Amino acid sequence: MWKEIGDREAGKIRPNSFSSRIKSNRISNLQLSNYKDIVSPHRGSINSLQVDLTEGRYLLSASSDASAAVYDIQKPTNYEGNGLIAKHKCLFSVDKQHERGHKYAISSAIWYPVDTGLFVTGSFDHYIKVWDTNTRQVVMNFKMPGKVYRTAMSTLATSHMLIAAGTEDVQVRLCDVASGAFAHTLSGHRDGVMTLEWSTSSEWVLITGGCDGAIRFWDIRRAGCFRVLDQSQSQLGRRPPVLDRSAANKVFSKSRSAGQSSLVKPQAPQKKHANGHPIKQTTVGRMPAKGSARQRLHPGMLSIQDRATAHYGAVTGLKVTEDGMYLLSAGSDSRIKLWDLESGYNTLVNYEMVRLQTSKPIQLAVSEDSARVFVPCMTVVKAFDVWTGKMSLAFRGHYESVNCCWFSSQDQVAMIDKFLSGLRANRFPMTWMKGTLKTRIIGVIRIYFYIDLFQISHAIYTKKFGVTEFVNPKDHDKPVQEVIAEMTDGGVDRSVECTGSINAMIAAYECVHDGWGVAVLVGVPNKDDAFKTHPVNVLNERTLKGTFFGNYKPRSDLPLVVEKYMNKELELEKFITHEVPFSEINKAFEHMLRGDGLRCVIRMDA
Amino acid sequence: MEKGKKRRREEEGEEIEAESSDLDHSLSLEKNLTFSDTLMALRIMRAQFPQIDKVSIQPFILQSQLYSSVKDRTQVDRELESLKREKVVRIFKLNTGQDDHGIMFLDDYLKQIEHVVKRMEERKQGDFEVFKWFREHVIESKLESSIEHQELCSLLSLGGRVRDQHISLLINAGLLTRQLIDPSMYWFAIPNIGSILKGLSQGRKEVLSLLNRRRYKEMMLAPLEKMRLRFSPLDMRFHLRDLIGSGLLKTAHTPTGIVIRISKD
Repeated sequence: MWKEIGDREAGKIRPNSFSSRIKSNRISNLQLSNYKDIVSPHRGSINSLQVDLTEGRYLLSASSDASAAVYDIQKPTNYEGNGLIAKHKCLFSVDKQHERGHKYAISSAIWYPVDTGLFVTGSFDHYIKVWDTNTRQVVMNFKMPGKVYRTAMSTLATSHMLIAAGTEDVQVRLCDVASGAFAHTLSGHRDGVMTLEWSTSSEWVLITGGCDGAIRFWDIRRAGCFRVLDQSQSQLGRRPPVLDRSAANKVFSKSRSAGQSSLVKPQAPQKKHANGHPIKQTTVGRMPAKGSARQRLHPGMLSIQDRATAHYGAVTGLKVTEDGMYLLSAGSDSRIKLWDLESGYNTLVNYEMVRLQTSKPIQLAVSEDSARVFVPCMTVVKAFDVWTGKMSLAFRGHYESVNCCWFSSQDQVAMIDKFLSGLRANRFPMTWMKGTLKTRIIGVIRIYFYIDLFQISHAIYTKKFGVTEFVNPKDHDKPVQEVIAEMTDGGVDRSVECTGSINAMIAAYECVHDGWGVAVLVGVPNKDDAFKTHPVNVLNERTLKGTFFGNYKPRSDLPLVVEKYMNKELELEKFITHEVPFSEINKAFEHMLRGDGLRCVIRMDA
Repeated sequence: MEKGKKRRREEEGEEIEAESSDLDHSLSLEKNLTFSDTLMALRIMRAQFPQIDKVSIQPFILQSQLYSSVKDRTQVDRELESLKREKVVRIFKLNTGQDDHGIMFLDDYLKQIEHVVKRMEERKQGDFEVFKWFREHVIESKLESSIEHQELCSLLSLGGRVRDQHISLLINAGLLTRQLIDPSMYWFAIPNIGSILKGLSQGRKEVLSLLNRRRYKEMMLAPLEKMRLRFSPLDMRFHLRDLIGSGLLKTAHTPTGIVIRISKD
């Protein structure tokens, strides 16, 4: 980075390329954050996340337990770990207890695009509610014919305030915030609409993806959709040269009017217009389909006959890039496709994907310069390069499937990008949030030598490995096993003892739950120590087991561990706290005896 | 560097193979896992298609096999698209899974159709000119893998008057199948392929269970390749390429060779 700053100073790089280089460097170093934690009050999975578009300061999350919560992601509510870990608790949350709150899962919550004074939630209880953020009251209520899957408002809109709602009903409804009534409905899909997005280049264009696998473009000023994306219409690369396009036109035999006319030659459609023009049909065709009555249809409604599909299954996620030129769509056939919006063609970029969540809509995120797309694939969030389709990063940290992710490109310190996808904070400069259920992991440190630094470093280290709560025995007068038993309603399910201190072993055994708790002793004790515990613990069906070298057969199992490390599933560098040359070996011993670090590496060559 | 040597050896091997153009079981998968070009990969895999005694079928290649052989998937997609437009190959959607596509060279497909038509002609009488119309008008102009009823009728009527019996004949021959989602659309299909597709899905399950039963869910490629499958007429190499390409299996290079394991993501 310093080289870039020096070049910028000398005038070798232009300002835009400087900032984009720094940004892309930062994105390639995305990691789980240790310094930022967003505490979620939700008890169910998080279905949607959005950071407000005006300031980039408030995060709105919607969950399956009928609650929606708002957090301030720039200013933490309190600090833990001696001021190092910033915790962001929710500012407020509206849930079932609220007098007019939702009764079933909230599937989507979005901010009013103009300011953060209002937000809109859509839920499976068939209602869309508009809330006032300051008074936390419902100001408007819209009843839908089916479960609401997604709501969206246009960020560019200056002349309308319409909420587009995709439900399990085949029609897309537009609700007007200004008047409190429904504006109109858009028909054309043949199954529910799982996902919709407004275009980022025009305030009148809405893009919807349905369970029938079709992606339709609607101009809300007219009836009917003006384009249906077809996965068999493809172009090779970003934009075909002019000659190829005319050839592609001849190949394109499935035109809009083929379904109706009985002419032999398919009509070439004039569909490559700028957004907003409907298709000019030269004949209003009759529909002589087998067995159905002949109908004369309005030109705008002819698109109903178009059965082109964008995916072989349902369309589960849509995202338009910031510059309004491309559309990414995810389907339940576990494919992600990149569409060129101007030509309406599939660009045939193949994103390496094995499985995607198929029953719920997922939220994709695109980085600001449209170079990377973040996709939640089951429990991992993968970042793909948009144009080559190769996976560049994988974020593993969640225990359950990830539903949504959001890339926020603002920050309090200029130009640092944030990325949210769940309940965890990601490493500076990125934060993560997940839409999952939480499991508790409690970490205890057993130190005999009290050193301040050690406590903090542990707080941070263990956070990296997934610790959710932390107990320091020094803080309590009672023995730590009783503290833990209290914290966890009877005891933990599993405890692992790693130091070898006999007191820690006894504490580990005594803090597990009766009946099913298992204590595993990993650390090697002193040969003169005696393990003493009340026999009543054994009677209560607590299990004590030991493990030697982790039950590993070195020949066959160690390669697997190495493989895991190479795939970055194990983060071993974080265990190594100090590194000393051989000449300073005594320092390493001192570190160990003082309890300063976890593992110290001694380089034998120096 | 190892890949470069592999590729050079492959290219020499490819030239020799293209000349001989018959099945070569002795060429192991280990040496020929990756290719640099889609068309070359298609030709090699076509040559390696196993010979099945009971059913006579021309060689076809699955799209997932291509993905495992050529490194860049986007390049595969795009080259397939251009080959399709040049009418060198034809792509069919198979009914064995979510996203399975079968690729066949156009000449092989036409040979297959002829074979089927001949067998039908021996058995019973009927209006067989529809097959000629199909071949001349529909296959030539419609390059996608599905077709709408109206369009089918309009294209067939270029040859003569189309009646419903004609379309039933086409479906009976196995050239078209109705789509389950949409009653007025048809998929193009490869005739006589039913038993092989059954063998394909059973073979996939067998390979996966073979690896799943192992303690660490992995196996070296060399001995795995030599195993014989009980339920599938297709050989192990075919299935391995297909499973690796669809992401269910992963390969890893170890000092002793390539090891195949079940991917868990």
